[in-house]
Amino acid sequence: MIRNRKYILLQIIAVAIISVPFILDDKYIFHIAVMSGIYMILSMSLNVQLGFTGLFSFGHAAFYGIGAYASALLTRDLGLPFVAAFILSGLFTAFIGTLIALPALRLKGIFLAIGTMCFNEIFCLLSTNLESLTGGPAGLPDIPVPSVFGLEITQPKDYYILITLLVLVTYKVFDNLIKSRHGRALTSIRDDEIAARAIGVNITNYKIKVFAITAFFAGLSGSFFAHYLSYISPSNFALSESFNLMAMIALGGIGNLPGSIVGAGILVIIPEVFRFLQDYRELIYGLTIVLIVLLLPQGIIGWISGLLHRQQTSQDLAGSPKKFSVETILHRI
Amino acid sequence: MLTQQIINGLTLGSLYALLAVGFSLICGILNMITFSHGEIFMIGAFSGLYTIIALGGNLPLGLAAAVVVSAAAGILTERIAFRPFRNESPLSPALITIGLSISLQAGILLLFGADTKPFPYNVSAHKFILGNTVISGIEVFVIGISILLMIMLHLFIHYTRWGLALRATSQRIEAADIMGISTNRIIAIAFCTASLLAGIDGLLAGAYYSAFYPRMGVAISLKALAGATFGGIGSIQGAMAGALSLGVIESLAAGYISASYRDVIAFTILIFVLLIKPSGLLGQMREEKV
Amino acid sequence: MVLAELKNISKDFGGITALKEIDMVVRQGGIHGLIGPNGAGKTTLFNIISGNYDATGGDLLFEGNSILKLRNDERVGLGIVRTFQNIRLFPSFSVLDHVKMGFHRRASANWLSSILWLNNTKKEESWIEEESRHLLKKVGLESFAQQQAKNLSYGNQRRLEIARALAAKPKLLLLDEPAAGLNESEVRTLLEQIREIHAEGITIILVEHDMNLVMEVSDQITVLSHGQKIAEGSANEIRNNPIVIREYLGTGKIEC
Repeated sequence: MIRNRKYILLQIIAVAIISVPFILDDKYIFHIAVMSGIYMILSMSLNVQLGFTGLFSFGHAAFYGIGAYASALLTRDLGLPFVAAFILSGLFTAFIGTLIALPALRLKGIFLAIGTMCFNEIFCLLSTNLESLTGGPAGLPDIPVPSVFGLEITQPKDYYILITLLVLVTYKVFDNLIKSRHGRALTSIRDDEIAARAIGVNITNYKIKVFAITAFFAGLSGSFFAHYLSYISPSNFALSESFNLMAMIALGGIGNLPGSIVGAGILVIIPEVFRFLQDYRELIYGLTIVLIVLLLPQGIIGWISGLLHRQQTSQDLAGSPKKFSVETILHRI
Repeated sequence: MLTQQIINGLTLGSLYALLAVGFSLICGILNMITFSHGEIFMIGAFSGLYTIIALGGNLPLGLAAAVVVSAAAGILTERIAFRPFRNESPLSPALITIGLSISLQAGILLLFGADTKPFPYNVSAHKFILGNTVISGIEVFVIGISILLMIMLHLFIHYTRWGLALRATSQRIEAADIMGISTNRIIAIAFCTASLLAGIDGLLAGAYYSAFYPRMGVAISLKALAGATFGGIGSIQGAMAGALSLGVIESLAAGYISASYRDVIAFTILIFVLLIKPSGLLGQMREEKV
Repeated sequence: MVLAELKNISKDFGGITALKEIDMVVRQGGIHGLIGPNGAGKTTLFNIISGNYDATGGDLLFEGNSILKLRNDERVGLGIVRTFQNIRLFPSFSVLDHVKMGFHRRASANWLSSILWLNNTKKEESWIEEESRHLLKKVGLESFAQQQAKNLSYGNQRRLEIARALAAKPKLLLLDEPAAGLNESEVRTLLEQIREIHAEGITIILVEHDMNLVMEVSDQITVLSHGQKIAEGSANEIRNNPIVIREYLGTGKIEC
C-alpha cells in the first residue's frame, strides 16, 4: 500500500517534470530538455553495462557515434526514411556491439577499460580520417529532418515529445530487464563470475547480449542526435564524451537506473545554468565529479533515499550511505 | 630514411616510456587505473617551463621544479583518488582522476591561457649528421635522459629496500601488509616515482615539440597507457619495451603507410596484442582461483 | 543405479600430475565422500566434475552421457550443482535474490519476453518468487529474506549457499568442504540438512576434512592420495583399510 502510494507520487513528480518545458514554452529550454533526453538514454544504457553487469566499458560514446553516422549516411546518402534509418542504425550499432563483445570477453577490469578506450579512440580517428565517408574533421552537414509517418518534425517541442517517449520506452525496457531473471543473471556476473557460472549463467552469452542491447540504445540516441542537430562531427563522440557519461551514472548512482535519468539531467542542465561562469565551468565540472564520488558513493538517489530512510526510522542502519559532511571527506582522504 | 624514422621513433618512444612506466607502476601495484597522469605530466612541464624562464635559462633547476611539483601532485592524487578506495572497485579512482584531469586542465588554462607556449630556447641548434640521418641535440638529450632515468628506476626497484618492498606489494598487497611492509607508504612512493618521471617527461616533451599547452598530456598519456599495456602492465621492463616499440611502430607507420593513420595503426595493434595476450607481451597473468 | 561415472580421469597442471587415472562410480541416491590429505587432488577432482576444470584425459559420464565437453553452466542445466569451500555469495544480493538466482536454469522466458514483460515472464517471475520463499522457509532463512546476504552469520551463509544450489533442483549436489569454518552446533545442523537433502533423493558428493562428518553420512567413500585413488568402500571398510591408515593417517586408527 505504502509502496503503491510512493509509486504514484513518483509518477506525479515525473509527469510534473516532463511538463515543465511546455509551461515555459521556450525554444532554448526545449533544446536543453532534448539534449538531456539523449544523454538519459545513453547513460541508462551505459549503466546497464557498467553498473549492473560490471563490464568496464569506457568507450560508450563510440556506439553513440556509430548510430549517429549510420543514421546520417542512411538518410542523407541512401535516401532512407527517418524511421527506417533510426531502427537500422540501432540494429547496426548492436551488431558492432556484438563484434566488440567477442574480443572484450577476453578482457577483465582495467584491461577491458583500456581496450574499450582504444575502441573509442579508433572510432574517432577513423571518422576523422575516412573523409569520403564521414566528411572528416568538418563532419557531416545537412542531415535530413526526421519525419515520422509523414509528419515532419521541425519544432523543438516535437523533438521533445519524441525524445520523452524514447526515454520512457528505454527506461521501461531496461527496468523490465533488470527485474527479470536475466537482470539477476547480469548482476550476478558483476558480483562474482565464478559463482554466477556455478549456478548456471552462461557468462559469454550474457555479456554479448548486454553489449548488443546497450549498443542498440546508444545507437538509437545517436541517430536521434544526428537528425536533431542535422550536423555531426567526430568531436561529438570523443573519449571525453564517454567520460561525461560515466560522470552521469556516478552522480545518479552506479547500478541505479532512475539515477541515470537524474544524473544525466543534472549534468546537462548544470553547465547551462552556470554558463555565466565561462572559463570556470570546466574547473567546477571536474571538481564536481571528484566530490560526487567522494561524498555520494551511492549517487544522488542513494543519498536522498538514505536521508528519507533515516528520517523514517530515525536510526542509523548498517550499510546506509555515509553522512554528508566535511568530516567524511577528510576521513575518506 | 629508415634510420631517420627509427631515431624519430625512439625519441617518441622515450617520451612515451617515461609515462608508461608510471602507468605500469600504479596499475601493477593497485590493479587500478589513473586518468590524471597526463595532467601531472602537463603541470610538471609548466612548472619547469616557468622556472626556467624566471631563472633565465637554468635547465637543471627547471627539471628540479618539474620533479617537485609533479611528485607532490602525484602524492596528492593518491591521497584523494586511491587511498579511500583501496580494495574496492577501480571505478571510483577512475572517475575521480577523470574529474581531476578535467579540473587541472581548466585550472592551468585559467592561470596561463589556452595558447601554446613555445620553449624559449632553441634546442635543435646542435645537429649530428651521420650519412643522410640527422639527429638533433634535443633528440640526443631526450633519449639520453630517458635512458638515464630508466637505469635509475631499474636500480631503485631491484637494488634497494624500497624497491624490494615495492615488488612485494605489487605481487600481493595483503601478503605485503602481513609481512610488516607499510603498504600505504609503498603506494605513495610508487605514485611519487611515477609522477616525478611524468613531470620530467612533460618538460622534455614540451621542449622537444616547443609546445606547452593545457591539453598537452591528453594524447600522449593515452599513447603511453597503450604502450604500457602493449608491453605488459605491472612489468617495468615490459612498459619500457612496449612504449619504445609503440614509438618506433608509429614513426614507421607515419613514414611508410600514412601519417594520418599512424594512431589508428598503433591502437589497432594494441587491441590485437590484448586479444592474443591480455596481460601484454611481457606481463604476467593473474589467475583467478576457484 | 549409476548416476555419474569417472573413467580414467587424469589432470596435469603444466606437467605436474594432479590426478592420475581416477575411476569412480557415484551411485544414484547416495552420499559419496571424497577424502584425502592436503594436496591429494580432491578439490581438483571436484572441479573436474563441476566443470570448473577441464580434465587432461579420461571420460566423465552423467546419466550415461559423456559430459566432459560441457561447460560449468551447462552442467548446472543437467542437474550438477556445486557449492564452494570459501562460500561464494553475491555481495549485492538479498537472501531471497540468491535463491531466485538458483532458478536461473529452470526458467525459460527469453530476453524479448522479459524486456516486454510478457505473460510468460510475469508468470515465471511470480512462480520463482513463490518457490523461493517456500524454499527459504524450508531451510529456516525466511526471516532474513530481504536482508543482504553478507550480513548473515557464517553458518547461515553456508546454509544459504546450499539453498541456492537446491533451488537449481540438482540431481547431483557437490558440496565442497561444507563444514569448513563452522562451529560444533552448526556442523550438527549441517549434518541434518545433508540428511534431509539426501532423503529427497538428491545424490551428494562430499569433499570434507571433517572426518567424523564424512564417516557419519557417507555410504561410499573414495580416498585419494598424491593424485591417485588408494581406497574405496563403506565407512567401515575405509576405517579398517590398512593402506588408508598407513598412507593417510600415518599411524593409529581413525577416531570416530
